[in-house]
Amino acid sequence: MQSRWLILGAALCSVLLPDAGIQAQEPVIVSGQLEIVWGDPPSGGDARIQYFLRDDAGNSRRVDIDDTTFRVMGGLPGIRNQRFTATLDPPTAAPATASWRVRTLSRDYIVAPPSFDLAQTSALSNTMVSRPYVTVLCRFADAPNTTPAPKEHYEQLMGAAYPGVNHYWTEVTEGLTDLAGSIVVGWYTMASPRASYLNADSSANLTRLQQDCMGAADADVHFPSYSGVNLQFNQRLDCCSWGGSRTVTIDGVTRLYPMTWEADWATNNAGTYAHEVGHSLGLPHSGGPYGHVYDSRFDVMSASSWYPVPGSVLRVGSHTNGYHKTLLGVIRTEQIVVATGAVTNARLERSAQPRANSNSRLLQIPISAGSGEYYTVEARTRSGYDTPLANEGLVIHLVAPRSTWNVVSSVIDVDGNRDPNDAAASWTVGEVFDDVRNGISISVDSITNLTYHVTVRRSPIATLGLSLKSTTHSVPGGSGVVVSDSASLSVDAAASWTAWARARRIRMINASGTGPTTIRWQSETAGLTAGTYVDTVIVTAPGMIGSPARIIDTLQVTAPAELRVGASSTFRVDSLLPNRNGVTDSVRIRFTGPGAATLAWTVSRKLNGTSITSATAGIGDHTVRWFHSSIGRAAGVYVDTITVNALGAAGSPLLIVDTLRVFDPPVLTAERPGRSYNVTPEGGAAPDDSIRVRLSDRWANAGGWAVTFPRAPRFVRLRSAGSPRVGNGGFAITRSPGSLAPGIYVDSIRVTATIPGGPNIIVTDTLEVQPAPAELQLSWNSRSDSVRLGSDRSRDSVQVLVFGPASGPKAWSSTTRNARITLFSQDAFTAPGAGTGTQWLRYSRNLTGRITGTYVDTITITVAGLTPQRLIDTLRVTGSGQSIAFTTQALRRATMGYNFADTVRATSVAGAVQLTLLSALPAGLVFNAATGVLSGIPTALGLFNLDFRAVSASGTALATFSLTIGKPALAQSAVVNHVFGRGLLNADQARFVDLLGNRNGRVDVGDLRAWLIDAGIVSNTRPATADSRRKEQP
Amino acid sequence: MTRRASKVFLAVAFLCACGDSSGPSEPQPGILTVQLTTNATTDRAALIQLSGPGPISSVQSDNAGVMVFSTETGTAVKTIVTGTLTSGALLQFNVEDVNKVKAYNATIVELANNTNALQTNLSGRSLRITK
Repeated sequence: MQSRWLILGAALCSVLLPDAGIQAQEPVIVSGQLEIVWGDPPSGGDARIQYFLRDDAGNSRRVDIDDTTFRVMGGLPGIRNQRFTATLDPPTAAPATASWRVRTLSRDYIVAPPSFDLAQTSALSNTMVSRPYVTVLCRFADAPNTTPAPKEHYEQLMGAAYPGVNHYWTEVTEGLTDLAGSIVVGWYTMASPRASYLNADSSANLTRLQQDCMGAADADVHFPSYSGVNLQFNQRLDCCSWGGSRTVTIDGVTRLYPMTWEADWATNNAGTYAHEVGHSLGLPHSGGPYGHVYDSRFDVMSASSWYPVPGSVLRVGSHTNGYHKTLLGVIRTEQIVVATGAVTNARLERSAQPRANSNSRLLQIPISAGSGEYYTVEARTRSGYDTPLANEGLVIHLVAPRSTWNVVSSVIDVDGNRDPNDAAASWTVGEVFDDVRNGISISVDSITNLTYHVTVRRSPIATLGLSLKSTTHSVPGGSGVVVSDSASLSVDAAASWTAWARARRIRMINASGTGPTTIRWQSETAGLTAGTYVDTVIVTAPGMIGSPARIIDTLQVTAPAELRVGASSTFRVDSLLPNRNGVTDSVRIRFTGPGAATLAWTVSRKLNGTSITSATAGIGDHTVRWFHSSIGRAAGVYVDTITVNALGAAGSPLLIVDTLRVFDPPVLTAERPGRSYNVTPEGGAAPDDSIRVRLSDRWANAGGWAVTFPRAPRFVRLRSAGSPRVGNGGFAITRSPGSLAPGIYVDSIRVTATIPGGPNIIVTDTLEVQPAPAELQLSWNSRSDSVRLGSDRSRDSVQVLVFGPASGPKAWSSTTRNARITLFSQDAFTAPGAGTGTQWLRYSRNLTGRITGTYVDTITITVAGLTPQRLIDTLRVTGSGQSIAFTTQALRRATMGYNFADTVRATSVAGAVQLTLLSALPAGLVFNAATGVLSGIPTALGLFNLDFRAVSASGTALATFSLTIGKPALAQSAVVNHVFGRGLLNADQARFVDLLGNRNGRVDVGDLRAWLIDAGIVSNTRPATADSRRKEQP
Repeated sequence: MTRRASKVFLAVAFLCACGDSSGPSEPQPGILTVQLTTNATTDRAALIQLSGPGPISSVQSDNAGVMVFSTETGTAVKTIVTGTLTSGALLQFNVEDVNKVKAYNATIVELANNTNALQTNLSGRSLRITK
């Protein structure tokens, strides 16, 4: 009952809507399966076709597919049993159309073939399958009394006896299938008049016809029990009777039914029934070579009812041709000889009622792989339904399955007389068919026992071939990559060819040439949004078979994946000391979006100091790991860039800016305010000291350092603990000689920077413990007096101090070099100027005979074993009215080895003064009497009293000037380093040291030794005791 | 055993002796000593050049009567010794591998006597480095 309502509803819709079933104004996009129905007029004329696209919701729309679209989709093999998505424009009222116009059509995927496809079922089972048809006889509402023939007539027409349709297809399929179980029901009168079953364009509304006719019989027929449906009507439909397949929902089952729509004129045409049933099984038309559909009697799918059966009102046709039998699976692959070689021999069995033998059934001769065209050769002799044929022989068909829905296979008829059924279309012994253009010849060699012996020869022909028919590339959107592709072009060596593309995004690398080659082209993807782009590369070679050849280049641009960094930052900073490897750093990279999981990436870095430890190429999410090295790098800031490249990913390249700061190691210096070399008498004390520690640069505030003793110190003690310290600072030491025996002691203090690998320095401190001597000192070192000429006395005194632990009562004596001084003893001015222990030395300046001038004398006090002490005594004798006098008060101090110059001057009221040096000069000096200049480089040390005389016309004056030639103050390190060749002394200093030593013109180790002795650093004699390990750091 | 067989045996024994699986010896840091041999009695100061395959550091006197002045560490170090220079241990210095003692060298560059005069004839004096 429910099915009844469904049918009623469907019928109601069909009243309101054209055959399309659905009415709309806007284009629609529909996905579904394509169904095909062929229309055949009663006597010649043009064949028709109707396409129906049945969507997933069950809506069926009649659609128009133009020839171009048909060919692009690959012809019947390309659309039969295929699922499509189409953009459809609705039918129009003016001009009146009944179909939806296909604007775009794309194949979705190949669906399973319908169950009625013999080519599939027979190949699978190879067993006989009965396919019963139900024939429903229907009248139009406006012709309820018109009955072309009674039900029994149609039962005979569909029957299993000759010439019934069941009998026919059983013979043609060679028993693979029959129509056993078929029934005829009716006559039924439909609800509507004939005119209501015509579309606006006067074509038959096959949908309504099917719905009303099957609906009329539904009460009597369980349609799913039948393989196919014949709908026989009592009047003409439109032009034609129709055959094909439709999906119908009836009796609770939705399925594809092989179906025919028979007009009244088919009543006696069993061949028409057979023809339409052939369409319902999926067969197309065949024909002759003259553009007609129904002119070949070699195929029921062309001329279908040309033979009136004697003694019957029925008319039939012959077998279907070999190509159609291959579609049905009647002729199997192993029964086909494919002639691809230069020479192919075949033995062909007859097409109708073949005998059981090993003969082949069909010869296939490929013509063009590009077009899919080929020849078929079959033996048509009189047998069964082929008995009425006018001629026996081989029949050659040209099969072009991709070019048309109509005459797919056409008979080769060489006489051109527009009769494809005469002897010119039947090839017998000795006849040769030559296809010069394609280099194919087919010769009938012999006929033996009804077996045709055939030879096919193929000669080389000029062809153009491509190794590719289509190519597809997929690129990530936004990548901007250039896609390169190529195809091998096979063509004669001398053939010129040209290649071009229809789209600007394709650029031919080699657009023309001669002979075989590889054709290369590139597709630009920059700026393309996600989608599919189909282009065509066309190669032409004039005169070549297969020209033009095409390559469909499909470019699929996917939505770009995106490259992102995980939680970590792309700006990284690290710090290292020189010659270190840093710790590993890492950044997580992640891909999101389509294709992220398979997106390839690479990682690179710019600087050698960065070592990538993770993989440098891979797919998908990844953690990039690296570490730095400062080995071989100077201090500074190094900015590296680690680049992650993921072709096609947004955000690529991803830059990880990696900054490495390489620090200078600290430079550690130590400075000491006091002396590092101290001398103390045995049992004496040495001063405390402190050592400042300086760290360079950034370490000044943060660098740690510690103080240790490399070995046990002898006298140095640290006053302050607290090591390690931080930053610039210092530490204090005390020197505690204690009971050290006389000798030279060197303690080492190690200051170490506490950073890993930090430097250290050794600070040495030297203490010389001398045997405690007695000491001789004077209360002052110089005395002076000024007297007028004629004075009678000038006296003075100095305290001689003799003290020290080992002093004891020591006797001293005093001397003077001339008679101008008279020395007295002890506390009295009595001779002889000597004493014991600390006492006063008194002396008197003798004034007798003196003239005006300055007199300098020296008194030397001597104690055995002690250094003599000298007292410089100066007496200035002045007088009123003096006519000549020295104006020089004293001479400058000179330094041994250094340039010296000074001038002695005297004045006289009488004018010119003549100077005379009365004493011997120290070595290295000269006196110029004319100028009074005393100059030169002194080469000896000491105190020298120089006597001068000045003479003028007014008188004479005498004066004594003391000249002290001393030593420069030199740093020990400067002298030692000079010997090491570091040249820290200037020329005067170096000259002094050399003069002090061996005077050979340069500073050497002998000079150093002399200087060390002179400076009191080392002794000229071997010390009695000393530290066993002594070291002096210059 | 034949003559030929004994050769083979010796060759095998030699190869086995060379097949020490412990590899090269580890560096052994330590102190090397400079020994002075002299027949002179008046030598009082010398400039000595030390050199070797590795850093030389902490040059010190190994003679109670000698004071030492040394440069910084390095593979070539100049040292001045002053005092009464007699035969025997003169200097000590630290190296990274005492096993390389034969690769170290000591040379007298200058020599002065007790009058500070340079000695141009150094015959009769030699330096030797020992572990």
